[in-house]
Amino acid sequence: MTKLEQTELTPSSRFAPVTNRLRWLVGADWFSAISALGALVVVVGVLHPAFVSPTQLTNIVQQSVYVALMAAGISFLLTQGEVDLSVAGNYVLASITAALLIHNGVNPWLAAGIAIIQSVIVGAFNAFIVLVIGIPSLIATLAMGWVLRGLASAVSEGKQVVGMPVHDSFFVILGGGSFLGLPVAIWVLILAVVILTVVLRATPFGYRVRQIGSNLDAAQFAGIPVGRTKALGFLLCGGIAGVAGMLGLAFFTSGDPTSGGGFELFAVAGAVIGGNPLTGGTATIFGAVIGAILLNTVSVALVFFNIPAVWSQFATGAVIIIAVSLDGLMRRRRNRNRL
Amino acid sequence: MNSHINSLSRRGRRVTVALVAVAASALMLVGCSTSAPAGDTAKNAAPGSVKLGIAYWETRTYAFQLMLKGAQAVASVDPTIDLTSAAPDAGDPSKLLPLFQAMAQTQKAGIVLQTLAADPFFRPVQQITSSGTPVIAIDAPPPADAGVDLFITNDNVALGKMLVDEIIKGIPVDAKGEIVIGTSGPAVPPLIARVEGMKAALAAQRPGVTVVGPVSTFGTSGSSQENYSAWDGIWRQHPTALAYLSPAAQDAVSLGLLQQRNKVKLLAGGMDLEPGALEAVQNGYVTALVSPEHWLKGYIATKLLAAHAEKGTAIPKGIWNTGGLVVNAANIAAIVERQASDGALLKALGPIGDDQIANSTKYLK
Repeated sequence: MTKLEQTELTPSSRFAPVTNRLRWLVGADWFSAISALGALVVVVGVLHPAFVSPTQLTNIVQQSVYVALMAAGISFLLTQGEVDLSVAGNYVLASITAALLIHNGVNPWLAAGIAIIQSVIVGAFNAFIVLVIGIPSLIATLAMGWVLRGLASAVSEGKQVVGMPVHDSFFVILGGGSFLGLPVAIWVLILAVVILTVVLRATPFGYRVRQIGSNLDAAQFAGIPVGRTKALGFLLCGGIAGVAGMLGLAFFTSGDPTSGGGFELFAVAGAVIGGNPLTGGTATIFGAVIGAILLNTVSVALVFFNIPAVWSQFATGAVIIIAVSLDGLMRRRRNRNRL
Repeated sequence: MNSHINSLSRRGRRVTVALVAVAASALMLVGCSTSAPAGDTAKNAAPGSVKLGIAYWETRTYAFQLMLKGAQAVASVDPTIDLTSAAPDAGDPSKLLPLFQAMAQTQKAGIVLQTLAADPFFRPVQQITSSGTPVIAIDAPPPADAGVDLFITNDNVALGKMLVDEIIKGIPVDAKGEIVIGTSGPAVPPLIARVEGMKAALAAQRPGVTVVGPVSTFGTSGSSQENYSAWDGIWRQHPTALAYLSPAAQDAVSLGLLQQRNKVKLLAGGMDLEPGALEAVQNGYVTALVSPEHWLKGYIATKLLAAHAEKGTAIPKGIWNTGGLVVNAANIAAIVERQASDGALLKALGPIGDDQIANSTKYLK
């Protein structure tokens, strides 16, 4: 065979780059979540075209931003075998703190910065309780969530903090502004996904996070600082919850101590549905965000089908169970096939 | 071997994706069978062509369900109306807002909005009213300057006074002692207004009485168990109080249960028409309830929107006070019968709602 004949492309090798890309796409942890989201949007859109109007789809993503950010932050902990159920309490306390500061004359941007620092400090508290005192993160952060909500309720006297300067640039830009047709909040989410994905995939910290999740003993044996890495995960998760709180404050123009109920469950469920297993080991920020958007899409879609409101909680919970179960079954099958 | 494993994985993923899509679709199709007449593209006078919606605070409180029932009653007798309803399982603006926005995409003839938090809805409501969809607010104030011109509500201060006027019939004018007010909604504006009314009426009519509270009976989650525990604690701390009052719904239920369990007789009064509270009145444990007649709010708001869509009737502007009703031993049987079914509610309250609409200037300010 001549060299020319050796190098001639066969039909299968000609499509190898495309096939490899498709194989990568289908094998991605987030593929199931995005496929389910796409299928849901298509099915509902066919039956109710108003569902796929740009306004409606934008509204869905915009209202998913808060839980999606929390899910992205939680991914850094889930992959290391930890969890943070205080994210919703942190979100609420951050918005109340910022609202109270603004109400008392502090510049909104400065107030937001202070509130986000407070959220990081909450993350530090979580890290201390889990890693130093040694309480499992499930219990520690669940209790911390109660503390934070109680504190938010106490400092706000149980009432909404209203009277925000809605014409200030903070509220105008973050709450009502848009860029290239998308609300600023969605751009913040996109930026967060990009940054967090780079952190996870291309930084030493991200490498350590994935190694700890993959095999804790091996990571310790290799000299990876497990405690410090997990602590950073808690700080990051807390800070992101604070950012979500600021976006919520900017949009809703009030601090509400009763808001965000159940957000921690949706954030964890969204992260898991998106491809972050509860058992740890792998992480996908994009998947976590898609999972959170999927959950919100389900509850909004129910409106279009006029499902009685009293059934909506049942329907949303059922979808979570089905999606998480299927993901778990699929992982087990994949792991079995690898052995 | 690797290709075989890969093909199994691919097949597994395809199956997973298909199952999730089928599951979601099945849930949606269940909704199709229970929905009002479909017809996104129906036009003019066809059945279901007038698309109205009601978005309310949450599904767990009976008072809010009554507002929904009032709205549904209008649709039940007018096949032209396609009414969509939506509410989250817990009161939270961030949960109600996406549902409200979704509803606004299809229910263009008008939306009834019942939210206990106005500010978070300012931008979305303004966007929706600017697009030409009328919004009527019921029960709690709408966001200011958002294009909502009609607010149907109660004078909650007056409702508080009504309860006291009824309860103090059993308290001598020169009585000295305590009257305890407990509330499961310490931060809910309509309930705060009712407490103000109670306190004002007590100060005016029983000046020798000391008002204790309002004490929060919400607990940490507002559950009925925590509410009962809170009232149990309040009673044990103030066992000789002259009366126990509440502006909220669940409290009257707990007050009745408290007396039943402990075999005591207290002078108790509350608000709203929770089934347990009605039972407590029937059994003599609760002396009086004041009903804000929530059904009427949903009914009147929906009927006004329907008339606007069908006949071009202008939607009135202002604050509409639907009034309240004292429920005591004298009329409890009639009220229980009225509350027993949607049909009975429509039969009893429909004419009242229609009369208010026909004489709207009496109720508007």
